[in-house]
Amino acid sequence: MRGRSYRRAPTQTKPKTWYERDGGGRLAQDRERIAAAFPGLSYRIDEQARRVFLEGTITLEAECGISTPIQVRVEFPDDYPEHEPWVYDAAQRFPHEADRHFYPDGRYCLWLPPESRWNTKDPDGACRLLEEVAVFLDQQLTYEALGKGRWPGRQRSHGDAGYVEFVLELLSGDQRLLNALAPTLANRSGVQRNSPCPCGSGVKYKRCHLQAVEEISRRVGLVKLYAIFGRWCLNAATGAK
Amino acid sequence: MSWNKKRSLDRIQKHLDDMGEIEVKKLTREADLEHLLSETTCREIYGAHIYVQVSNFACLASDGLYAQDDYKRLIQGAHIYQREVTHIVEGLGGTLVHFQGPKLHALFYRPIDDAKKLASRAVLLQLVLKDFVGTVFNPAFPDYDDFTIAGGADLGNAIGTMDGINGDRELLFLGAPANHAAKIISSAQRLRLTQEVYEALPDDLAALCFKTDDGPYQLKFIGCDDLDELLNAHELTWDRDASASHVEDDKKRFPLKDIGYSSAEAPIDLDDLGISNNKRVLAASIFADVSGFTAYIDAATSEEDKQAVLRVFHAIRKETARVITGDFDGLRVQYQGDRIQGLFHLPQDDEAAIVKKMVEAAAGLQSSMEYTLKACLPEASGLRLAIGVDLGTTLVSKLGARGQRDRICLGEAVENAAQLEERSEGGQIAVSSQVHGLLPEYLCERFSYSATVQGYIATDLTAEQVERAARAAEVYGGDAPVFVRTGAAGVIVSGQESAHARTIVPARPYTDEA
Repeated sequence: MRGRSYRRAPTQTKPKTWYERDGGGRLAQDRERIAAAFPGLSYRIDEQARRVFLEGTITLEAECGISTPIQVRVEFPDDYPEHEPWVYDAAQRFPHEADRHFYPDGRYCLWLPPESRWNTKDPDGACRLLEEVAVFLDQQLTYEALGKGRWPGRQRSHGDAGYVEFVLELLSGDQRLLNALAPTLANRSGVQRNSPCPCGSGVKYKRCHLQAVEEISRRVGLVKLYAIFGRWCLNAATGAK
Repeated sequence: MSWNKKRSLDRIQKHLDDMGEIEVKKLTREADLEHLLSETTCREIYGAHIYVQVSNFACLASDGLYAQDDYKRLIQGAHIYQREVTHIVEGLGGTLVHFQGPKLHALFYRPIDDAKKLASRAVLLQLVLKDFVGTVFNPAFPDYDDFTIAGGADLGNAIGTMDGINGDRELLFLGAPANHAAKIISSAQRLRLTQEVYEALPDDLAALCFKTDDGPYQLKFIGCDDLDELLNAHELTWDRDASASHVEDDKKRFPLKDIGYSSAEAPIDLDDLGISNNKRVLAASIFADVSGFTAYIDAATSEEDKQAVLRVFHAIRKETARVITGDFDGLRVQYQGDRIQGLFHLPQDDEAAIVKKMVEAAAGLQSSMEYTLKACLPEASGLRLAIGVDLGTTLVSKLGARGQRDRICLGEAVENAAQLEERSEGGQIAVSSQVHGLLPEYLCERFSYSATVQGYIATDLTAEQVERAARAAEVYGGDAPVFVRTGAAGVIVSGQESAHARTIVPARPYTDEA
């Protein structure tokens, strides 16, 4: 028998999905919490597609007693809870417009990705997400009540501008600094750690804004950051808005 | 004070539970309608409905330039006009339904089912009232511009019912003739009648009519002698001199020194009003009408259907009154068929606060219609409320004596609110430019100008939306957190901290598409 190695027979078993792992513990835990907080929602498992959906109504109550049931559909990614679920306007209750913070397919635009409230480690994450959804829906109803297309509360600008706003806030709202760092954020300045900082302080980059740029890169993601500030620099050069 | 769904549901259900079985029969013999009819004892009555309006009263009541005695003279005139017109209606064999402000609603239903006589009397009443105003009333009150009247008459079946208890009873008529007669009234000095009345008229009266371009027939004007001759021919009497003498007697009986009017710091007690005690207030008038109700009731052919329609009608009538009086501390002035008239005059002279409360009340009325009345009465699902609102100086009084007393409001704002309602559609709240300009920004923006309505309209504005719009600045105005409570009772998002509520600073939504 010496010299013969044991080789495991090839298996037909598919890898387990998130809801099958740990004996389905996460799904059971989520199900219990959601049932208590959002009894209008229930889970549906599509065994064929190996996907999980949370569907039904979230009912918003006004103080005067009028209830507004809103149909929602939550789709869980394959790597849940590593990534946040997506939430959809299941019955087209609202117009799917960018100004109402909807994608054309009805997906809610709850936040700028770097500002996501999703907490991978929170065992109550699904409920927390739905509470954020409830606030978003309350804002939708308030938007309708106000008329004239005014979003109630603070919001991010659409597209690149939303990211630029976010970066500007990380730079304490210093527009001059943002202008100076933009080529670096776009990976176009070629600035080295020991070079003078692009902000013009005369201090070495590593002792000046390197940390801030690294923090921005971590929050936004390099690919997104380079793309946005690449366009930003191009527009600045051509004078386009 | 605000609208609340549970309170509304409870009171509608209680009213329906207590209502008892409704009886709708055809009126086959003469009866005292005041005593025969009730909320549940209703009669289908074939008759001629007549509306006659003195338009000048409204603008005179609103005119702030009048000296005290002039205003008292106007009050004196309105009361004396009502008294003598009541005599005239009764003298011609008619029934006074009520005065809707400056507008008389009268009915001829005797002799039962005699279309020719009923139509004749409807026409003759209009002619007599025109003569009365021109030859008796105007000479008795020479200080004013000449009063002029406009009228409308229709003939057919309407359902008569009654609201209220004891001294606070109002005759109500539902159906096409009670509605069309008012709708065909046009500008001053025109006396009009529908095709139904025209076709039932004898030749001598039909000869006085001509067809107008916009549909109804119109009466030619005739002199005093011709009128007397016609009255004789139709075995009716009206003594012009006796009327003049009644008016002079009433002027002595109610001298200006005994007529009083004042503003109102506290809610007006309508039952306390009369010729000696009137109120002149800055007030918002509201009219809420069930859009399409006449067609709804005319479509009910079986007795069962009619009973169901009347059940719906009484539920709407009572609930709308309770929203105005109970939920928002307003005054219910009058029911006018399927329409309700309300008044808001407090806080005294605070225009902005009055119109804000008024629009909240209008949204409350829409909420009752959409959320609670339809929940209790699914058969009413096709009905919607049209609402008109305006603000202005208004004379509030009570006309008539003892058994027959009508709460009235006179003023241009009252007339304009009624017209805004008539021009708007179900689900709409229509307000005048003045009211719109006084609304808080969060309400103002819900209204847009409509050339058709000649005012600003908000469609599908409910109590929930008013509540959300009002708290928008408080809840979402800054970086402050909101409080989210979840559970079996639904989700409540509030600006106020509460037990078991989760604190969330609202995220800033974003869209990845410019």
